[in-house]
Amino acid sequence: MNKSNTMYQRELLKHHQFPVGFNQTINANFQAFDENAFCGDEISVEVNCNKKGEIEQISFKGDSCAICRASASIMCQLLKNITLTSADSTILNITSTLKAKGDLHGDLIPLNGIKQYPVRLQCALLPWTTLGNIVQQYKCQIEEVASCKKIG
Amino acid sequence: MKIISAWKKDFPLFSSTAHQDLHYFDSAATCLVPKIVAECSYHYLTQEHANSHRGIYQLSNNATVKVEQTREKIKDFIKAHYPKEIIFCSGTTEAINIIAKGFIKPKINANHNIIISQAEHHANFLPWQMLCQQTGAELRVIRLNKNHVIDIDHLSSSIDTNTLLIAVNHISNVLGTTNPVKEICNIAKKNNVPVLIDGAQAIGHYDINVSDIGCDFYAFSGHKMYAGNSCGILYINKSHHDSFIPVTLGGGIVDKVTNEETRYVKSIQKLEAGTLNTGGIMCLSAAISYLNNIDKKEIKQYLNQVSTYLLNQLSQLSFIKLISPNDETASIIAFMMNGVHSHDVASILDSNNIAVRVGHHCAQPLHQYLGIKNSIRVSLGIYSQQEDIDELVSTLVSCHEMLSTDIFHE
Repeated sequence: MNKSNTMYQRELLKHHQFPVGFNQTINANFQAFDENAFCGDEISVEVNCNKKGEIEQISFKGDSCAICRASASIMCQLLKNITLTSADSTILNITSTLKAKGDLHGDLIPLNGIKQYPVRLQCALLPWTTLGNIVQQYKCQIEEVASCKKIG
Repeated sequence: MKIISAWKKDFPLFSSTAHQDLHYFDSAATCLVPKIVAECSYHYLTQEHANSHRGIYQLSNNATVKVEQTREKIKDFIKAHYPKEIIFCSGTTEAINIIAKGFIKPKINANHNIIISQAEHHANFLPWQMLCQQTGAELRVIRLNKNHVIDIDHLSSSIDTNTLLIAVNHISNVLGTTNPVKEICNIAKKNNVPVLIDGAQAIGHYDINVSDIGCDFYAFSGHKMYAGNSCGILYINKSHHDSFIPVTLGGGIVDKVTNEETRYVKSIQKLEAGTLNTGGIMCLSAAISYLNNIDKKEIKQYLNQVSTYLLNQLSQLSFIKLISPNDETASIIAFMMNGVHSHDVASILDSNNIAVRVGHHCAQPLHQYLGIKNSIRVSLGIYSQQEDIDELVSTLVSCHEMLSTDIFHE
């Protein structure tokens, strides 16, 4: 390539070619689906979460680009055994960092190269915003249980 | 012998420091601008800028004269009968919306139907879908034949006494296929149905003759014929002028306004409310002069040569699946790469200064019809040449090696 393409770094390509959690069948108790209006890509994220709210299993499926798939793979790698509440903070961190100044760290480093390509940001963010829908479902469930207890 | 464009030197972008290595394959979205048009724009803004059709001072008067000379020039360019059949607007999208709101909306009801094709750009799809949804009228979408052009038998059998309009593209903005618009107009005439042709993709490549085609309306944009961000044109056959109501209300379209009522001008200048984009109109005039200085047959022959080379090269790549038919006269070719998402292909191509378009190209119903979500579109301009295609093909090979994975479509 004449220009260096910061998006397709080696680590990101590894996730693209050998994605973590892709097409895995899990005993999911939460599921969310979303699509990228720009290109029509779809992703479905599934989570199996225990009573403490910890993610025991997480997987994704769908027809998407390398950026979206690698981002989803990183998500599955990073969030296992983490509570959905903590995942919410990670989602916020990734969304705000990719849209503003600053760099992501640790397992998220391969996503830093996408910052220079604003149109592709939505590809990288799609898995995370879809997981965000699951976090909202979880929060609603907790609130419902709490209000049931009050009424009870 | 290599295929080299005789006109590439006319386009300053290729000699700019930032983009001298650019391989531009997105002329279907917008054409690059020749120096003569850019100079015209600068000259207008620095020496001639004025509000046309309003002032009686010399500067404004000169602008008015030039706008009307351009109207005459466009009439000649598309072989219309009268300059008053030409109206200026912002682009093809606005032109089609003018037909929808100014001509069809006043008369449509639940008994009517409107005919379009499966391969329309959203600009020639959404106005008709919305009108039909609002009124209960039927939107009849004509399928494509095996060559991806409008199925004439299906179109003929879809017309009835309640058909208000046939609105179809001249050249598909995705497939590059040319529809038999003259034949469609003949069929429509026998049934007394007016025809609107979306000429956005044809205007830069074909010698357009609206009188020979026999259409009632023809819409196109200046920026797809090397005129930069200029203006759009809507041709309206004289026989329909009285049937229009103004769409946008404002200055320049009335005979008299009182507190109680308004009397609009009778001509279709009632569709040109507000200040005209005089600078854009000047640029369109310059682009027409530029194209008029080139033999249209020469352009067509050259683009066919480039297109043939492109199709030959692409057909040698086993991982490329052509969406467009193998038509050597098409300047637009859509394809997909096996195992690699179209957006990734475009990003990798961009790394080598190759500009293509990916996505649904504002034609989602067509992509649904073809059973795909997106495609890679390569579109040619008179500056395209063999070295651009060679660079494209070698980068497609690298891209496939780098990103192909068989888990892509499980």
